[in-house]
Amino acid sequence: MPQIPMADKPLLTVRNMSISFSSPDEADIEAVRQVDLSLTPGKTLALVGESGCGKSVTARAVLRLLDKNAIIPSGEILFDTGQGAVDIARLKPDSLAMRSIRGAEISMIFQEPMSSLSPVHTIGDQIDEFIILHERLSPKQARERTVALLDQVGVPGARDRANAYPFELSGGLRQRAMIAMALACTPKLLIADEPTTALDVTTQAQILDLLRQLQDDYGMAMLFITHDLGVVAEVADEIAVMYLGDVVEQGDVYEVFRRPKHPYTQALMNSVPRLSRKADRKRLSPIKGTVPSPRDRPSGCAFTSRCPHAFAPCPAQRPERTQVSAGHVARCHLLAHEPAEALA
Amino acid sequence: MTTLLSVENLSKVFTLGGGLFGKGRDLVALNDINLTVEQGETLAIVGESGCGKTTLGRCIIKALSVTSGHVRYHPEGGEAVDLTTLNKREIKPLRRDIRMIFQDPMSSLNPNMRVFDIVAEPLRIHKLMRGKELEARVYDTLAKVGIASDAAGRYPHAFSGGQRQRIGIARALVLDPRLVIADEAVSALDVSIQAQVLNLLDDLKADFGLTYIFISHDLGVVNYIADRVVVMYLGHVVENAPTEMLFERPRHPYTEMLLEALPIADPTRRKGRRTELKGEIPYLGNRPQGCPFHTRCKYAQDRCRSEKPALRTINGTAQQAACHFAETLELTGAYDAPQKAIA
Repeated sequence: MPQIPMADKPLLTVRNMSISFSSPDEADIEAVRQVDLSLTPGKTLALVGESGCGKSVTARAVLRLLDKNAIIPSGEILFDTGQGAVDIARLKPDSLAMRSIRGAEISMIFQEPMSSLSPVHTIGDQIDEFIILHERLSPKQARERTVALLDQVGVPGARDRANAYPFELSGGLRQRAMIAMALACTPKLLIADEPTTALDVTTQAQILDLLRQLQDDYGMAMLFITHDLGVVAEVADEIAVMYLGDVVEQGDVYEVFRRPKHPYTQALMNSVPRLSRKADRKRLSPIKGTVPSPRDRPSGCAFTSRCPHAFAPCPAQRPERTQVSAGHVARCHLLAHEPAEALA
Repeated sequence: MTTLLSVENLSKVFTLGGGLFGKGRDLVALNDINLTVEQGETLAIVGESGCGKTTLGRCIIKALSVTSGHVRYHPEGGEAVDLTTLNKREIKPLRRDIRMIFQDPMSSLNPNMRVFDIVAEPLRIHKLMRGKELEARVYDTLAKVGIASDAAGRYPHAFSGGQRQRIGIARALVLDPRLVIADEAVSALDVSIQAQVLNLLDDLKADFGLTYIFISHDLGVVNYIADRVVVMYLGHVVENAPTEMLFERPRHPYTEMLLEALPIADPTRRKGRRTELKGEIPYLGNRPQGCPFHTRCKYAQDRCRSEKPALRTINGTAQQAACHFAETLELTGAYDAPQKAIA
């Protein structure tokens, strides 16, 4: 079994974090509202939601890779460096401290490997550069490390393939090269933003296997962003469901799938076709309407406009985080107002 | 049931490169495809990227010309016609019967046209109606797909992805077609919107008496919507079976692999490590000798490397597979999959 040091102590704690985007001729848009997350070594947290819910922005905030017009007006992102905690939210994005964390301590893989790798450099050169930037190694040593990494992520003929350009590789191999680069400095936290969305199912299964294997080997924490509940069920230890900038429900993945408490989570799960025989097949019950723009978000619960259970306090009053069971919280007025029924 | 469309020995070869100084290389995108579409059914065509499922759809509507083979269409109350032999003028009336819905709702709608005109265009091209009648038909069709009539004066950019897909569906249905080919029609949509569109397709099928060819890579969606499934690999049909038989007990190892790879939205059915999934789809240009799947097949024998299996009926059932060992292999289906021990 892999050694997971201090498994209970969180590696990264996001507390009460908000993200706003400003624009010269419009009011600020709050893309993420008071999010709380925590990541533990060796565990995977899946951040789930539909497009525009703020899941990618949240992940990018952790690496301070946000656009220039984005600010983090409140909250903290505490990262345990081993020598005390650093509040990433207070670091300058281009400061030395941030750059020594980004890539080395916290690393990221993206959805589309074709557009996130340089098309005019070989994958070997790109990984070499990454290693040399963070560690004092000669180009020769770096290349040795690169080949070993490519080999480890399952690129066949690693030494030759290091000289290949991204366009010469298949989608699966490109994603493996991306993963090799992200792992080059053995990060403590890996952020994976829809890493398998652009891949075919058999390739997706291979990449998910690889990520699990690497997590076992390195004991790193993983923040996994996806819209696919099937993938969540496959890889996650914990799940956080986002809707329009709010984390509406979070907790242990088994618990949340078994007893989803927030109407949005329930609706999302009812929208996915189940693999069942014709006789047991149920008509899908989709969520009515569409996601409103963050500009039109109700000041209370963001889901009010589409929620089948919405009642008096929902539009104006934001629901508090309510503990449903150990490590399972949801933001919904139903839980506070009908505790007996909701907790049953 | 009556046959609406049959594809016979259809092949499509693309020639790559070539030019002044010589012949290009041939790329066989579709290899001897045979299948039939029955009136009123939903036939799904599944496979991974590059398997030829989109090319097949395009060959059927004659957006691409075929290299050899026939596509026989049975018009209402008429003799079967071979679409591949018709010229542009002859095929035009049949285009009313066979319509297509595309994957990306943004790039398949003209950004410079109002929604009303997008939906009205097929009626105008076919000179079917004008004036008040046309207007009524367009608003009626938009209402059926759930677009309010006061939105008809707006441009596509003003709509969300799900609404745009509804507009694309309205454009396909306004001519009252018999066969609709939906090419990855819900793949670009968020799950909650995808569910809305799937339900809509289901309702419209009943209302209009439609037949669907549903091209998709998502087996969860296919299990939900399809009556029959055709599995393609490298330009071949490797399995063709009623949905439930295919998901219960696949007869081709590639189908098993696809089902095995499918993530299920239930952590208690987590599959753990799937070491059996090996390799990647070979490049179409160097298709393996013998069975196209043998390079990735864990059951492959010597025979598979030399002799290409033909698609054949298995044990006299409605299930067809192209595997030498289809009768004897005990392949695992997707319903109530047993939990695999984590290695």
